[in-house]
Amino acid sequence: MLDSRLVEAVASVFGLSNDEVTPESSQENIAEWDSVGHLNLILAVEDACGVQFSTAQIPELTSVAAIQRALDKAKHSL
Amino acid sequence: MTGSPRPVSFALLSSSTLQLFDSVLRKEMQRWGWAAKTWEAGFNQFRQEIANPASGLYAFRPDVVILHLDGEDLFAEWLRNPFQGNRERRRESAQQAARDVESWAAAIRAELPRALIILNTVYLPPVHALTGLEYHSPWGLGDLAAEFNCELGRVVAGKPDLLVNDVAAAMSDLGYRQWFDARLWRLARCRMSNAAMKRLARNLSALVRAWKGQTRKCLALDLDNTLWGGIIGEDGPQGIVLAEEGPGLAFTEFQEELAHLSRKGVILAICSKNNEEDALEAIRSHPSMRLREDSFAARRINWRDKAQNLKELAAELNIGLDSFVFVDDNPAERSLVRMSLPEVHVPEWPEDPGEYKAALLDLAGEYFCRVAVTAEDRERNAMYHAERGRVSLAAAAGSLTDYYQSLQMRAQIALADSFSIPRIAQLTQKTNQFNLTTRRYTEADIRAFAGQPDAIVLSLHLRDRFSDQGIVGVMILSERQEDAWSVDTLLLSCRVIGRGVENAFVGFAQQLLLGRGAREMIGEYAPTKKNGLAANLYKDLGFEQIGEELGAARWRLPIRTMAVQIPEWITIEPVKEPVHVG
Repeated sequence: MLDSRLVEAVASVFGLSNDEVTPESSQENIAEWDSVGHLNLILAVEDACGVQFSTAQIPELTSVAAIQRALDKAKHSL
Repeated sequence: MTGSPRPVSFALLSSSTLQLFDSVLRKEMQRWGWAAKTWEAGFNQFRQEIANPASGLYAFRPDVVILHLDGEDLFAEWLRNPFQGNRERRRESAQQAARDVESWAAAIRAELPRALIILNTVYLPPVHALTGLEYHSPWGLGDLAAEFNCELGRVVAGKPDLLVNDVAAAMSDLGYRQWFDARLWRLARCRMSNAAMKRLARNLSALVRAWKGQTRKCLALDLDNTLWGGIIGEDGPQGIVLAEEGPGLAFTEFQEELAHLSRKGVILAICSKNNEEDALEAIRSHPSMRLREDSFAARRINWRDKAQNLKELAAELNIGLDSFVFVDDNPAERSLVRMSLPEVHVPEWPEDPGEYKAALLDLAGEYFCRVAVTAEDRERNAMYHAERGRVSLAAAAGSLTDYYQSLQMRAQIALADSFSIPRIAQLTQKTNQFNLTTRRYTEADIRAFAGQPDAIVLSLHLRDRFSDQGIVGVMILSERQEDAWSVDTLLLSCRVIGRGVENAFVGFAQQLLLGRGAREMIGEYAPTKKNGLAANLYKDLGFEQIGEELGAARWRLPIRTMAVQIPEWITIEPVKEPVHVG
């Protein structure tokens, strides 16, 4: 299950509709998801979900599925 | 603020990267009705862009050039090896950096004669290798930023299109640990956190709007629980919360800050529901008032609706409603003004008066930003005050009914019980303004009334969309003659006056008496120095005057043939069974 806040963040940063966001959405298939877009997305997700990813983690989170897994992990460690 | 967005273009030149900042700035400008286009120099390319007349910077022809330089870059050598030099060397270094910035600004100006150029103050990380040693050795870092910032004032002096954005103050307000995000620095060479970028964008937008002359002109203020604590009409000038110590200090400091704002040319006005004489007495004579009558350019102190009063203030001051900001502690009043006058900015306001001063400073930073102050600015309020002519406009009821509807008021009217009796007695003791007979009763008195078969004690508990006001109304009815009931006491707390609650209360009582087989209802108005507000109540409700006794007017309503309308916007909830009276 995708967190709705994650879906909304991806949609709003890259100018998509919520329906267009799937776990498979990634840096490979979204043109706007470049290096600046990536950090904008990470900041938007952090803002929306109240989490903070580590410096090492951020470059790895290049798909919606990967961000969702990181959110799940952050939730469990609370 | 309305209509299609105004275009504005920004060039961003920086010693670090502002790529992430770009979208934050555009979003912030959009919030104020500006469509911003941005262009950013490549990482650390700002010197080349400035030096080359054929560069992308000049081809873009921006309205605003932001030359954002970080202390860490200007003083990189000192940070790399802080164990060197002395105070004099650091001062030379800081002055040299300021001269560099000055020459870059001059080069930009030569190519872009009409652009606004914004420089910034700098900071260095507050904790570093010299912490502890800084003041006990020749070495140091803190004076580099201090000296540079001081020099910037000289660089921009006399140049109205060259401004300084005080980034060091913004950083210090937020706190370095919130400002700097080490992750973004390492991954993207960006020295600001998300929160810092939002703050920077707010400051820049305020500066740009101030430069364009797009700031608000007038701050209209409520009085009770805004300029002072408590209610002047109830508590009197000695009873209000306004002092040099304790909780009253919050209001004194708030007023001081308002006085400072007025010295920057912001017009202050009063828009308040009070008896004007009561309010003026406090303003003229209270020893802790920091604002006096001549601090305000205009005032509307009356019981009419505040949207109408603001319209009149705008007409009197000859400025648009879109130049107004209105501050009121009461969320219902804020909502009325927002609904009726969307051009007026009505900020949310803290519940705790201790936060008023900080809220005002935030508000002033965004809405009353000034980049220059004239002698006329400093005197503006006194000038208006001296020249004030009374401008009266016909009161247009307009959308008042819509506003009342939107409040979703629910009045619960109940027979007095052991929970409500203390509050009922307190209201008879305290209420001065909307109080028809001003009879003071103790709890024991109320208990006695409530136990008598020929008396009815009603309390009115009001809720609206914003808040639960608690018990705000009291009515005591007594059967003086067969089937004729007198209104011994009728009062309402002044925070709910002017919403039709009194009509609902009397209308309800009429139906209640009708149900008991009564024939008539006798109202009484005993004038005092403070209750002039209620003088016409019975007349307005359709009662006929039947004489005067000892200065008190008596009014009569034949309740079988005449009804008092309950306003459609107030829902009445049924009387509850009393809980052990007596």
